[in-house]
Amino acid sequence: MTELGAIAWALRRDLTLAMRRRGDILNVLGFFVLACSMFPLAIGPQREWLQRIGPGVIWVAALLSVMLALPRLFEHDHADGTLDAMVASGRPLWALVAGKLIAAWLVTALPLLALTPALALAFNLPTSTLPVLVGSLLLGTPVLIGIGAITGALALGLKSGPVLMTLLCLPLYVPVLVFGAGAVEAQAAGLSPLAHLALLGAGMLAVLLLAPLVAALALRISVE
Amino acid sequence: MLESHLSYLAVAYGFTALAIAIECVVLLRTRRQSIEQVRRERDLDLDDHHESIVDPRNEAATP
Amino acid sequence: MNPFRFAAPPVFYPLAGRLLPWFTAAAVLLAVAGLYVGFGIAPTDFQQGEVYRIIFIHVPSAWMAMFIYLVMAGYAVLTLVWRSKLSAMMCRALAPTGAIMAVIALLTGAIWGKPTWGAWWVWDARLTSTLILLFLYLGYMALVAAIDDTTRADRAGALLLLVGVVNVPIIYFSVRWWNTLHQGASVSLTASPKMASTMLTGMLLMSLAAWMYAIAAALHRVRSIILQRERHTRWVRQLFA
Repeated sequence: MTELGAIAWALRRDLTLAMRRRGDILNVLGFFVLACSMFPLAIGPQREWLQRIGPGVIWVAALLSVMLALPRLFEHDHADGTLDAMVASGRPLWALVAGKLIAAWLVTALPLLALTPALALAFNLPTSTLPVLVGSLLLGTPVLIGIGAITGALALGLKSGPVLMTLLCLPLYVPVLVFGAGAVEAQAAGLSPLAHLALLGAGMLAVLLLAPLVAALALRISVE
Repeated sequence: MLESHLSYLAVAYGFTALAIAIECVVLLRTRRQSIEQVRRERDLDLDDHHESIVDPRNEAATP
Repeated sequence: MNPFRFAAPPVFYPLAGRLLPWFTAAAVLLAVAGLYVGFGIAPTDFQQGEVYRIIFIHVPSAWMAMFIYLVMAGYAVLTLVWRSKLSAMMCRALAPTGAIMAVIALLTGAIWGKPTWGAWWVWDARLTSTLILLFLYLGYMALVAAIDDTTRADRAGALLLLVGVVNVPIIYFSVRWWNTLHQGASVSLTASPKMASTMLTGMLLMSLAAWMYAIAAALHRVRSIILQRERHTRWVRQLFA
């Protein structure tokens, strides 16, 4: 099977499986909205404060929502033996992983992006920042998924798996968060967000190229 | 003012000394436990060896 | 003389044992010298008084926390590429010492910050990066502890270290950027306009002392790890008749 064929196969399979578990998408969205709502509930609904913390809160909530959905990436396949079959098959593992990552982004990040404008309104964010907010999430979420795939593969099948994975993930997420939320803050302050977005873009390209390979290597380490 | 600053110094150096002391204690304890484990497992295997000394399969199994 | 001979545990174990006293002695001597310079020779700082002398612990420990992680990453490469068991053991041996160095750096940084800048924690770039580095250490240690299969644990930990080491400069860069954007004027714990050369000497001596100490601790710890891993072999069992 060619690389593209493998990517398409894994993508189609994971999307089909996700459609059967539509509740998972609602879980992610629900967590996203709830996490964002915690902050006004905790600190009060003053518009200036919400406007000030809005970009950061939305970014952190999106980051956590993506991260919480990631253990599912490999655990289900590992539990029913599909993962072993994938690793042992002659198909290029990185391509299968790439397909899974694309599916994960479509199922997890895309709904979040769709919901982001509504949340931005809830935080009274100026409309000029909205494109930067969505754009930074668009560039940043693939990086989050890529890093999460690597750490999820390393922690595969362990009893403390999901919790361990978050401990491994979060330090590596820091630059993405800094540049992502920073882009929106820059825009809100009247500065150019281009530098932040460029760095995010560079990170996204690096992850697109490397994450499938590294995650495949991590899977081999965990499974073989 | 200056006295309280010296107490900061004392706490910093004291904590560092404590951390190093704890690390050394743990290092020594770990070594002791490893040696005990070696001895314990060796003695267990020696016992097995003597009891089943007739069985040629066990002869091959011991290192 | 084949250098790879030393990579075999039966050869490395006694070698490490012979080297251990030397590195311990070096650590003690350098520390004594460093403290003598730091307290006996280096002058009182014009702005900070005596409390600045915390840097003789804070800076060496911060450097060592960083350096040990880099060394671990080097051993990680050897583990993955050459499947060297001893390299994996050295990673595990170095990790706790590196983590402790990070903790010392963070705590002394906070203790220095309070009288100097008025707050225990000011989220400056270097301390925040060191905090993240501590989590990278803890993550590594948690991962290898959670995996029962030794080979898988070694290799998974090695891969995690390599991913981490690539990210460390990125993390540092991003945190520094974040810090300068949000704080503007520098609240940097290393902002000393001029350092007397005696202060630098003291810092250097203490850094060397920390380095010797880290090597000694790692050598000691790796010997215990070798004993645990190789406890079924004849050469280990004959050691403690």
